[in-house]
Amino acid sequence: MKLVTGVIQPHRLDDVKSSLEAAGIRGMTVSEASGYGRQRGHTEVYRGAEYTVDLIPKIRVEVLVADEDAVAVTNAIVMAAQTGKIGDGKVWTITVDDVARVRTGEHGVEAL
Amino acid sequence: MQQRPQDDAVAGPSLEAPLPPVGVRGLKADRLGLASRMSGPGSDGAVRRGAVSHLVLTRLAELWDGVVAELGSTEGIALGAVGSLGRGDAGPGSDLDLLLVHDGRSHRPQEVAAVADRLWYPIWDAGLDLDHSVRSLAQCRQVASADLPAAVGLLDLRTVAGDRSVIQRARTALLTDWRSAARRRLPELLSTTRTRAERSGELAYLVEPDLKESRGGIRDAVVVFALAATWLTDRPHGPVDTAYAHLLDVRDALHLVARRPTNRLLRADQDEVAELLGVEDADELLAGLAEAGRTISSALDTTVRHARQALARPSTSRPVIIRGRRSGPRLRSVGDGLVEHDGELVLGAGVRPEDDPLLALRAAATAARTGLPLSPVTVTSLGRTPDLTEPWPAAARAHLLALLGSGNAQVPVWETLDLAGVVTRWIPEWAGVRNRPQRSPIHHHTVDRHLVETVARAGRGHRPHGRTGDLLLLAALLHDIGKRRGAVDHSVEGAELVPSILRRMGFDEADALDVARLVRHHLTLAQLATQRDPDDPATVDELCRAVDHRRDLLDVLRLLTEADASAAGPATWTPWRARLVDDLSRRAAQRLPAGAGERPARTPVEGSGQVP
Repeated sequence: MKLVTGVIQPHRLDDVKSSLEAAGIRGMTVSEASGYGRQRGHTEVYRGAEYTVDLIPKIRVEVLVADEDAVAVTNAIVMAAQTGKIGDGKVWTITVDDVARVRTGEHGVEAL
Repeated sequence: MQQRPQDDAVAGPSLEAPLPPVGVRGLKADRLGLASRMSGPGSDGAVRRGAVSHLVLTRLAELWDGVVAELGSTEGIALGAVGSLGRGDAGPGSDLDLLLVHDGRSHRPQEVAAVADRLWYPIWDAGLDLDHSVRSLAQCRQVASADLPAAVGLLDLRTVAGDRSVIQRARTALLTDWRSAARRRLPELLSTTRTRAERSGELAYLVEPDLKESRGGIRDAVVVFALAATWLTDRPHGPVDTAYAHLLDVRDALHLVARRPTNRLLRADQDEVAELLGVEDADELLAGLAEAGRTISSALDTTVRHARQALARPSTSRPVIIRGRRSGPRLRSVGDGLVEHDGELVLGAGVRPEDDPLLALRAAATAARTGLPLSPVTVTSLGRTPDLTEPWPAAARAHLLALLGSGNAQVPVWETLDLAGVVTRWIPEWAGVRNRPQRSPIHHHTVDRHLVETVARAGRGHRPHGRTGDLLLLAALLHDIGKRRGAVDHSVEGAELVPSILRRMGFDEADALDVARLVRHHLTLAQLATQRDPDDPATVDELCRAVDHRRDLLDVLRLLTEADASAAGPATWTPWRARLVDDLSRRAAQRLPAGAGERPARTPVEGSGQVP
């Protein structure tokens, strides 16, 4: 099993959700995140106050999938989140040893 | 010899009660059946609870008869009830709070223990929830002295069967102890109510409230009764008794629907409970609970305040006589026709509410400014003020803006006057959102309380001065006024209501239209910031159109967005969201330099703006 994690622009979330649903993904975890990549550290002024923007608001999407679905899910996120500009985010995949469904106690792929 | 509970005046049911077998066998089902037959739209809850209590007490007395048959004499020993059964308020699923009281000398300890065993086991076997104890008279007093919940519970002690004089002696001693220890126990009692409120939330605003433990719930009503029992102060009657009865009605219906003694009104049960009570739907059910919860919560605050005042007075209560005349109360003038007396705001001598349409707004603004709570008598008097002329005079608008601009201080004032029906006279449209529950998980409050909380946040420290500050307060007050029953888009419907409300208040046309625009777009900034690409020029274009290409409205919308979101709940306004909103606001501000599109300053409303 794999955990596919995407950190994306907040305004791309709806498209990413639609894309994942079209790919047959029924569940995901979404959370607010902050971070920066290459665009780090610029100064902005708003209402007279100067402040340094070093952490940009992002959305973190996490999806647990079977091994054979990981590439398709990664591609679905990338395609939906892509604007072609700096700050579009990252998607990565890691291996998961086990998953348990709390309600039933099922383990492994059955618990996905 | 059996002694039935006639001494405590339990009214027997006039309708036919089931003929029970001896003792408590089958009591659980019989109680449910009786309550079920006596429930339904239009049924009288007090009569039902009286009947259920009578049934339970009768069956316990029959059990007692069988138990003490071998004892010879029941002198010096009795079975008592506390809790809901003690108050005669037993519900169809209430647990039995029973107390075996003895005088400590008429029977040997082994005999008392044997009686207890023979009482408790059949009750357990009958599947009834039992809270039981065995105490001598002295032990009753010791327990009450050391354990506050027990002390409050024991105030409701009543005879079930046995030697009535034992229960009466215990009751008398417990009440005497309670009154003499009021000064020591009041802080502890208040601490428990606060802890309970923090743990269980406020009944009035919860979507799945705990009818018993929430702030404003059944237990708080019992605390109000216990405070009155100290003799330090009386408690509010009338609406409080109605509210308490309503909570019990809902609890009874919940027990019947859930078929178990739960006090948490889950969404899954709300439609059935509403139907059983003859209420239109779950929203109306929650609205009724909100009204009851607010009434009991307010009664608790008032009773506590008066108890504290009584404790703070010198113990010598003899009036001071100067030159043959009793000295008057100490009054401190705090405003036009308003004085402070004993820590409360009251009307000054000679003020006639019937002649002063501005009095309610003036008193509200003064209460918020001084932090003094309005006395219950004054609140009643304010309900007699005549309606304001339309459009309102400038002084009325000034008082309203001063009230709204006082931050958190306006919340209890608004709450008090709303309960008294004053707010809906100022803003009749308020009735559409009053006590209205919100099903969105992000919201912690009913619609009306959310509006008040939003105003409180908008009125804190850093709001702009002058006209833009006034626009912010008015938009905060009215931004969800369109969330009425059946509303499809509350922003649109709210914006349609706003102009007539503000014209009635005498605000000029430009103010009315600006506030309507802010209400129409109060969600626009947050939605654009979190759901649209900020680099797309169309996103900024849309925001600029929403604020009519005016920098002043953009700044107000930014503040309104924060006040609205932070008032909804702690998770709704995060640094993450603030960053997104600020980023889009900054982009729009670059497009709209200061002063862009602003209307000429109007003559400020006298007295409006910042309140010291």
